[in-house]
Amino acid sequence: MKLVGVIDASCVIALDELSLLPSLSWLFENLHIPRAVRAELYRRTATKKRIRTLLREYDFVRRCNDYDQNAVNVLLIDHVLGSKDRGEAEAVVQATKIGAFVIVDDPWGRKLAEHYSLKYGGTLWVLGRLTELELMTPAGLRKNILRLLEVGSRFPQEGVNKLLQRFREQEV
Amino acid sequence: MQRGQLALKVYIAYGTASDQIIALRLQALAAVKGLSVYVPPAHTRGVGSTVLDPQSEAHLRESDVVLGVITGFVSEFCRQELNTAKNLGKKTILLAEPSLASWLEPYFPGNLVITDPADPVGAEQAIVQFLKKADIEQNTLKVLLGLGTLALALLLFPSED
Repeated sequence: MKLVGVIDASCVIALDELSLLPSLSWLFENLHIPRAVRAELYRRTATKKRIRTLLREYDFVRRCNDYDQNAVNVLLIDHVLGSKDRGEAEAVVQATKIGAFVIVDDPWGRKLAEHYSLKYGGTLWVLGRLTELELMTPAGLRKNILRLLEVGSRFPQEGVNKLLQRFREQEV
Repeated sequence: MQRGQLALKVYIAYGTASDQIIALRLQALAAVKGLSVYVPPAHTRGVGSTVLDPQSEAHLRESDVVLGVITGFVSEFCRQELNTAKNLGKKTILLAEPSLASWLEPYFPGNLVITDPADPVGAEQAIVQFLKKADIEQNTLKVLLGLGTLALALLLFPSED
């Protein structure tokens, strides 16, 4: 069965920072980027050009627009935080439609995925899987986590250290 | 194997955009083994792409080995890549489906490995033979063999829909 992933903006940014987006081809046959996620990436100067390039460069990275916008609106009714959260909501609605895996770091997005009984994981999950598949060494995993923390990515300390412990790397 | 021990550069020419995923998987794996693998962008497999872009041509010129991965159709860009590789005298190995054998064999005699699901051992032996003929350092050879075998596996046993 083809495994399809739907990815949220913060994960695109983090994994692209580490040049690991092409490696997601080992985990997913197709990686969908919902409209609101693309809109969020287009809004930022740093990611505007990059998202265009990614979509042109990698065939398995796809735009996705074909999902119920009303369902997204309903999800957002009880969650008044701003347009940024539309990305997470669209990722979950899209994933529900096609039975995809959701790649999301945001706690609300993860809760939403769980609520819809979807499989999900964030940037740390991706790093862990790539290390399991030996596409990254444990030392590389630690280096990559440190790099992300350095550029301002935020992860739960406990989750980071649990992952590092799993691969017998020093905690941060 | 230590990183930096291998300076070998590999260029992966894939048939169509949908073959790119195989190339990307090989690239990710090769990077861990210290090989430098260039995978041309997917848009080069579009209908309008008929001439090699300067970036791809530069990577092709710099490459030590060209690995062709073809599952069903050869785009014009891929054909250009393979022809250029041939003209530049690059060590080229093509992994292709049996239906393409008669078309590719005259152009790449001795460099073609047919990925026949009925004969995976034969295909692997063909890769070994090709690499033995090529003048490549022992450790690099092992990595390339691993890469070739994996490419074979990805071609023979793709994910099912």
